[in-house]
Amino acid sequence: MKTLATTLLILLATVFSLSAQDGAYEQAMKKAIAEMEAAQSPDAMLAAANTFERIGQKATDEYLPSYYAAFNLLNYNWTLQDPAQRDEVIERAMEQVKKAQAIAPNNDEVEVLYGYALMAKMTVDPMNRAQTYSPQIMQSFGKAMAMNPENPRAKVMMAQMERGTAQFMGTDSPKACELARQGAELLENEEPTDELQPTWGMDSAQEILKGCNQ
Amino acid sequence: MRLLSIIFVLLALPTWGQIQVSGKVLDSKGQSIPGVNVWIKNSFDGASTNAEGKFSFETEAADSLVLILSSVGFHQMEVPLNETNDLSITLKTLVNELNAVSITAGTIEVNEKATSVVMKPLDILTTAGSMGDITGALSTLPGTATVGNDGRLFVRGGDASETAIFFDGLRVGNAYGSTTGNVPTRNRFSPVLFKGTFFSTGGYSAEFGDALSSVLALETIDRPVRNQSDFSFMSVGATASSTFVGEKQSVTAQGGYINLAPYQNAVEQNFDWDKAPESIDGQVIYRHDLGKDGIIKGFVMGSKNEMALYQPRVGSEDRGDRLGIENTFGFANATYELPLNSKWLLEGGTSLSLNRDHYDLDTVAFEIDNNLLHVKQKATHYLTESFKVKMGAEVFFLEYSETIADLNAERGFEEARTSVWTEAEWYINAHWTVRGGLRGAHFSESNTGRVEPRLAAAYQPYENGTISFAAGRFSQPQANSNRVMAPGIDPSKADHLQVSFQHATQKRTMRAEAYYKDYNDFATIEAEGIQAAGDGYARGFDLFYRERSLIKNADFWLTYSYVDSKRRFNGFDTQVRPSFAPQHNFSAVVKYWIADLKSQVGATFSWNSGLPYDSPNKAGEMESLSPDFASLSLNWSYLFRQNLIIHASVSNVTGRENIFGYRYATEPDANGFYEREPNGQAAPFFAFIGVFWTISSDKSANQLNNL
Repeated sequence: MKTLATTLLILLATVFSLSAQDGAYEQAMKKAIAEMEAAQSPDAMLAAANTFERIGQKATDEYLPSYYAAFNLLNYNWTLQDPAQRDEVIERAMEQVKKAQAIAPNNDEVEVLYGYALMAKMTVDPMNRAQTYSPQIMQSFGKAMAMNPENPRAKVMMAQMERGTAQFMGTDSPKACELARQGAELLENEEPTDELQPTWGMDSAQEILKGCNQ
Repeated sequence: MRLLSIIFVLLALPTWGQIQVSGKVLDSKGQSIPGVNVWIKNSFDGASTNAEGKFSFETEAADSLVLILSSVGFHQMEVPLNETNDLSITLKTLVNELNAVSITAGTIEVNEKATSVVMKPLDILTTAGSMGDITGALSTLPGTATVGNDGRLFVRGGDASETAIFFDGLRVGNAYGSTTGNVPTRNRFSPVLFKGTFFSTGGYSAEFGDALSSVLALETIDRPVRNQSDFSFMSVGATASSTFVGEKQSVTAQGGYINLAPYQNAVEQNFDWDKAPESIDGQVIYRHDLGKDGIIKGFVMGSKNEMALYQPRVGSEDRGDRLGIENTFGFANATYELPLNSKWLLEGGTSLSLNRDHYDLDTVAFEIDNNLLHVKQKATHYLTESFKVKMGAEVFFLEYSETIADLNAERGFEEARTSVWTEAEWYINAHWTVRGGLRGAHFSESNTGRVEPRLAAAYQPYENGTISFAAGRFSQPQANSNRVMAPGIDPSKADHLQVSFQHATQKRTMRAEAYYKDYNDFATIEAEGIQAAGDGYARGFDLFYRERSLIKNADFWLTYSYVDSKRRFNGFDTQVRPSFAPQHNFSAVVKYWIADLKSQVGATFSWNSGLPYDSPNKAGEMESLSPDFASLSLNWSYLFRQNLIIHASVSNVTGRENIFGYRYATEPDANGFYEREPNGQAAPFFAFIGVFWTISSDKSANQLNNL
């Protein structure tokens, strides 16, 4: 009887601790995502990035903490003025992207984020960096679109690049509008497999569509 | 029942032992650091510091908790938690290669990485008047002089040979096209090959040697990003290039043909050309990844060019002497870069330069062969993030000969030079960097050895400012044409000292630098032959100002360099001002992007106070000064389509007749007066138009960076 009780106890304890750990990760992520969505100030964005980094150093098999850490750092980067500081923050975001890539190779969402990080890097000094970076960025978004033609963020980001190029050339960008429209449509119908999956992109899509003849 | 109570305790445990962790994070100066990530090791529990550097969060109590603190720009720190409240933790500033103060004295780095620099790679291509020549663009930078009838790089009172040119760390023999009769030359390499350029105007690192004044190190692109073909159709010729990119390797092949005859027919020439400059060249670059982060590169280039012109004799009516030159040049280079781990980086390679100049001076034909083999190995050891040691060894084999076939006469020499060097760089803290090195060299032909110390330091008085100095001893073998007549002659040497101040932000760069250079052992012609008996000095200062935000879409820089230099060399009995060292040098470069016209326009104005020359009609040596030099160049690039660019440029728009010196009659006239003819420009101006067309799967690709 005593043996049975001990076995049962150990079994129960194991199951409990396992589910608790799993739940802890998910709970922490949900809380962090809520923190990210509420983040308006630069400090809050950096704090959200920190939160995801903390989760990432514990949940080493998950790519999403690193994914979101990088995403928040990139959001934070746009709030900065000093180019050297921006480079530093983007470099830190890039480290997180690489971490995510190592955990989840050939993931279309991570690929989009990689292109996004390169895009941030380019805009620090577009005069000198555009020539080297823009093909790499296009390549990255193109790769993500090939991996998953239904990825709305790949389309929206590609639309941003197309629009940038067109603006530089002083021409209209029907291609950017079409990509943004497709991206927005996919975003509206997007049903994430779980609550932790990325859902961003609508703001950028609508921003581009504002400049399009509907 | 007992079982249930145990389960109950287990379930309750997580909420049972919550404790509060709070505190403040400061930097070494006691300033609070916001945005620091603070957490308990192996848990999800943590927080970020707020604007006052304060943090506070809850975690489960346990026996040995470790707190981790992490922030950009600081060393990550782990603290065992003994107390949990009102902690005060100081983070150490992280100083590494990226954020350390860099040594700016005598250093001009041209790369994409740095956010505030003197020059960027794109500038080399878009500077008006440079005509896509690396040297042309660098000649607008502080410390350089424009010598319009030469075209090579002249640094701080030194002649062009005092600047050594390196291709991926390996020396290039004859890096400039061969020329004759006051026709300016160009650097042989297209600027599009390179991702970065390191240009030192003095006090350079122990890694380099055999150059009295300066080093120009060109670094080729590692990994091209896409398949692409570029074609250009120009008023002076055509080029084609193709790049194929594979998973781990890439290959680029390029070929070009240039002929100035059509241009010379269109624009009236001052020179009496017999054969317009014509050249053909081809090159192949292969790159292959080596392991995860390493790379192997191979480069092969061949070129041939020809020109001939008549130079009238002073006082004579006929066409004068015919000067013809035919140059054959080959260059091959193989290098590798292999990081062994985070602490060690190995680099090395071999280069071979083959150059043959065939001259025709009227009826006399002679040939000069100059071949150079360079083998180099280098290792960098990062002892800590803020301390690194580099060391290396290299061997040069030089083979030089002069031949007059008709007379069956030949002379020449061979030499092996061996050097070993080491250098340490230490980023002491966020405000101080020091670098010290030692180079030992042995010259087999003269059987001499040299030990050369190098020292540099930088101090940051405020965030965007740098004060730095660099000093050292440098040597250089005598010119081959002298060595062939004076076997065993010692190399010449120079000591440098320079102090520099720089204020740099992304939008504005200001720089002032003062220097002193002491020369010894120049080759001179003495009664007993050529001897290393000359000496000299160069001193002066450079000023540089670049502004990128004053006017929207406009970028400009201004450079002024003052040089006071004298030397006793060649056949001079006293110290003289050399013909290649104009005292006052000024240049202004402007670039302006006009979005409505899809065009970039640029202008470059260069001025110097004239070149010293020697007049046989006056007492003294090099006592006269040519009229001041001025030239205004304009360029215009028009994006016709995304992948099609039209580029036009004109050098010396105003058609100003610049004079670089004079040729004198060999005999005086009846009054004892030597007649003279000016050495002027080949043509009043140079005009160029071309169409640049790119084919790539990526539609945004163009050759904007090729112009």
